[in-house]
Amino acid sequence: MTATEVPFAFSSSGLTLRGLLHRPDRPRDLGVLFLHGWSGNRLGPHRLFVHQARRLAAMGVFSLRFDFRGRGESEGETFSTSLEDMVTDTLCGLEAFQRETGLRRIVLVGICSGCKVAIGAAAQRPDLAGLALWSAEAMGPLRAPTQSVRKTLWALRAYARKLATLETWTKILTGRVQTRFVRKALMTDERPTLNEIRREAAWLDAFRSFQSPVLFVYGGNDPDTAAAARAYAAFCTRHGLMWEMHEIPEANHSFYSLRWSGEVMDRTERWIGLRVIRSDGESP
Amino acid sequence: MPETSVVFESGGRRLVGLLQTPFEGAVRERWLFAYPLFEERKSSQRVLVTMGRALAASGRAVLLFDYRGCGDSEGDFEAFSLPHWQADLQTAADWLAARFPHARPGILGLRLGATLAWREAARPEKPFDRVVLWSPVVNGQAYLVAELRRKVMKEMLTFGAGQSRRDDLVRKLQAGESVDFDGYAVSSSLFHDLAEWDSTPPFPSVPPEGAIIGLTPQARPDPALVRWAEAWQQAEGRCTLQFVAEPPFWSLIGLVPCTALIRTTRFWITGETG
Repeated sequence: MTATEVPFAFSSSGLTLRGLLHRPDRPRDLGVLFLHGWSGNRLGPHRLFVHQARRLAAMGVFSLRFDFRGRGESEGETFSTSLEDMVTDTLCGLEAFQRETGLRRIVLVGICSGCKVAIGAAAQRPDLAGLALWSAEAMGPLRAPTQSVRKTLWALRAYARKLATLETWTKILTGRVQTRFVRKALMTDERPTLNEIRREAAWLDAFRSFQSPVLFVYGGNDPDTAAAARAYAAFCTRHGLMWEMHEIPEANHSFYSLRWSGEVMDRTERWIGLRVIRSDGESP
Repeated sequence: MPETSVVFESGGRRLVGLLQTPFEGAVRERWLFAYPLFEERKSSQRVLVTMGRALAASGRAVLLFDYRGCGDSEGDFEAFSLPHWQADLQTAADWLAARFPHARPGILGLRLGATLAWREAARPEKPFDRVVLWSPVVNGQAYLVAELRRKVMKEMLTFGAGQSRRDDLVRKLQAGESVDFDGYAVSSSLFHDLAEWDSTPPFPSVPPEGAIIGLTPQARPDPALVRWAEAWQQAEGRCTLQFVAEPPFWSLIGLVPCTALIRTTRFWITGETG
């Protein structure tokens, strides 16, 4: 960490949200606001946001990583936070970030549910300089009706593979298998409510006219990738969005390896250099 | 509760933390919290922050911070190992003592953080009066081997077959190479330091007062923790051993309230049922 990484707090709906601001030594007029997943925090999985923010600082890009309400160090109730709340937090974070730094151009980088939040925020802030969406889940009407079934099948296949190991049988025979979690993995119905679908549909509706570049990065071994990538590709093509997509062949949902996370960061930096910085007439 | 983000130096690196304090009144005790490592830090953060808020509401000050190379703090994970992180705990304890010199010192840790906390508390200088250990890691090498086994298992679930073999990973570490563990580069020196942690360190002549709280699915006693508590009592230290039925929240992706764990710990520390 350089001396220019400082704790940064802002308010959203009367709650104090905590984060860390990365100030580059030779700054450009560009910042990245990181949006973590549903149960994550401002570090991102395996400190991915920390590493990405430090690398971006070397390119002259500011970053703000923060904890949504009810997550990490931020105030708020853990179990009553909604995606809508997270969008509100993002909009407040954007204002605070720009007020603090004076930046005009901000890119949102989200992972998993953070991607839905990014699209929800972009629907209200069309002036954003771009979105980088890592493992974006399909949302609203883009969500395939078979998504829950596919996840259950994936979990069933995973448990079937586990049954092939001696360790699993030792656990079963000694009563150490936590059936509650197995049942939850197989039976949890992840279908959104009608209200959630309507809200996400409204976000997508506004997002159709988003003018700035969008990058999708997926892991090839994420069970959601094929359907989500197909749905977003069709959506972006149909509405003429400026988009590109990259798949890391063997990676899982949260890019849990040094090689995969390195590739996510390389791709994102290259995209920021080419599509965001150069397109604005600056040298990357 | 009033909460402040803090930054302090340890070993030439800037460490980032959160200080939680009571709204009013004198601070009766100052508690240092020791995070676990790897993704366990991410999964346990909210539970530890909530625990800290419960203690701050009872007149305690709590400091949570990231060791060097971890979380928000400066440095790369691969460059550091257990002695560095133990030194960070000492620095953090001194930092907290300078702010609340009249408060009684305590330390609480989870998993490997609990083991680090215990080693710190067992120093002859006796820097802490009270210690709480949540599911401490008893054997460092067994812990790392189990984590590597989990890595191989995850690969099986992802690819249908393991990409690496546990024995090969151990051989690499023994040969001085680093191993990619879920996006963290585990260094050979961390592996060797963990291997030396084969048991709990010797008890000081007057051990601190402490509680070992084990989390198991059916609150079933863990024999290793029972032995640890017996050794503590034989060393004439006051030690409470409790098992709480809670999921291993440090290794779960979703959020878990851990109400029973927080209630049990708060009662042991404050005597309040709250």
